[in-house]
Amino acid sequence: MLNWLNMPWQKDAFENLENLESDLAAVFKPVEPSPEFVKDLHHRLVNFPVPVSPESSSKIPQYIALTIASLLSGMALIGFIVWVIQEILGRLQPHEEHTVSAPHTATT
Amino acid sequence: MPEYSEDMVLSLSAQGDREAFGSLYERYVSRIYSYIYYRTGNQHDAEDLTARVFYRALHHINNYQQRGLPFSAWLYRIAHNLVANWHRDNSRRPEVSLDECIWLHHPGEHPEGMLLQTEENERLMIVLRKLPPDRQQLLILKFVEHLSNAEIGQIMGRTEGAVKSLYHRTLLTLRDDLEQPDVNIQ
Repeated sequence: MLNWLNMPWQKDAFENLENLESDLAAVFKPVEPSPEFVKDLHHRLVNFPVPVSPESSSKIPQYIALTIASLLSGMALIGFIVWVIQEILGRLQPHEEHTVSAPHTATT
Repeated sequence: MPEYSEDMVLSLSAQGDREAFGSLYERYVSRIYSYIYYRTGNQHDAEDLTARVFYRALHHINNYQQRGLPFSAWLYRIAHNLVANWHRDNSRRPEVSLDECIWLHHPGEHPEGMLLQTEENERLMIVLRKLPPDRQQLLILKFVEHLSNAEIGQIMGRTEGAVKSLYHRTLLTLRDDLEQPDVNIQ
């Protein structure tokens, strides 16, 4: 088996794809599961309730929760940015009011 | 359970007859296990994924509709998806090469006898494991499962002609790779 593989210079042999197919057929053999496994799984499939595997359960609630959490986080971030801007403007605002109201008190 | 046609057994299974599903299981468990074994490379994961395939099939048997897709092809598709997920989840681990699978499934053979074949097989294995996953899948379905191009096409979602073409190109790739002098036996 595979003797032609040891002689790479023999191109004629390589061109015969049937040889390659027969070698692949010789290499790949069906594998049998253990009888204990087959019997045990048969027993479980026939007699026990179907377990809900994690991958078969719906992920829609997770996506909804993730979306809501993302929106809330985004709103909180925007609110924080607005608050910071307001704080900065608020610190500037009293100074302007003070400069405007000063002449009024002076006239009275 | 008496011998019913596959359509009848499928119908009974869809109605919740577990014995009928057990009959389907008996028909296909070896083929599905063999396919998964070559894709994963070890007995433990092959058994785990085989069990998952049949649990998923049992869970979704009501959704299975015969639209020209045989039940076996449906099972192979489930197996293919689970194996793909398994490879994705284990992507940090090095994949088990095909040659290891071939070594592992001859536990009863004498090591010296296997050694005689090692050098011959090794060159072929080196080029086999360089193939893309879809081509490896094609070779497994053809040579391990002995499926026709039409059946393989149903599993892989390709036309029979596309499978035939892919198979021919795979053989040519293997042949060309084997001609390369740098295919060293490690």
